[in-house]
Amino acid sequence: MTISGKRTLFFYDTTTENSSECVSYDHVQTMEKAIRSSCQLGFILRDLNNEVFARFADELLLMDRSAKAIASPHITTRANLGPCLGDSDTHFFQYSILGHVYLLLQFIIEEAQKSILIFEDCYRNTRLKDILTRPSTYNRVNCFAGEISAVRLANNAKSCLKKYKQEYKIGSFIDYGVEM
Amino acid sequence: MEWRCSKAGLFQTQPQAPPLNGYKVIIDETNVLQPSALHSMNSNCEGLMDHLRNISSLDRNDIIQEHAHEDREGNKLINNSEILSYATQHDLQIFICIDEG
Repeated sequence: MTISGKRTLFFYDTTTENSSECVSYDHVQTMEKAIRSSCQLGFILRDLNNEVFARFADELLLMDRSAKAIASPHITTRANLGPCLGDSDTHFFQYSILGHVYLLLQFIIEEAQKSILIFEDCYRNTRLKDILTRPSTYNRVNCFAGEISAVRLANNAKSCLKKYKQEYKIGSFIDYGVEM
Repeated sequence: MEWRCSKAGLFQTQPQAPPLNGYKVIIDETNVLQPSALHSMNSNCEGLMDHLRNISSLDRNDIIQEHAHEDREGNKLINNSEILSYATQHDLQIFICIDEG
């Protein structure tokens, strides 16, 4: 991957001859190239500042049978050897931070987060869960018309929030052996 | 889970073997960390670390815990002060390993 640098010229006494120059790299552009390249290889770079967005997009990605990760059992054409050595998998990009699925999800979740600000801190997580797991939330904004149904989005939200809590429980060394 | 050896067993020549029912659950559904969907992963992970530290740290001044350590047969179990005392009496470094499998 080639990342072009940005050249900045500095002029001191005259406008015809620069006193020095500096080559810098645009990080936003670099990041975009990194995201595009990794998606083509069947990987996703995640923005961990917004864990719920990323997990929600992951859940949808897992349900997308067209997005085939490396060594996916759904890869039927062995000649291409999957996204890594084949013609790349364009489906991954739409779930990345720059893809349309992620951006629309971000819009929906940010709207939900704004709407719970009127509640006290201790009730916000429960309220957010209620909003995201309700199909009417997605019907109202109608962001994925003809693409992903509201019921599927609500079910994905339910599943993603369940996994989210479950993983933190495992990280907390909870003992299910004794509970059961 | 936590297992503590009995005070009487400390003076036996053979190391104590933990019985199957001798473990105590210290993290369950009631005190497990609930992450916030409004926070970043970094913030939630730091919260998890603090939460685990608060639960698993041995506190010399924990009066309630000091009197709560008895096994099912009524044998006195080693308490926090004793664990800290035995663990630090040689001024050796203590290494603790957690294996969640």
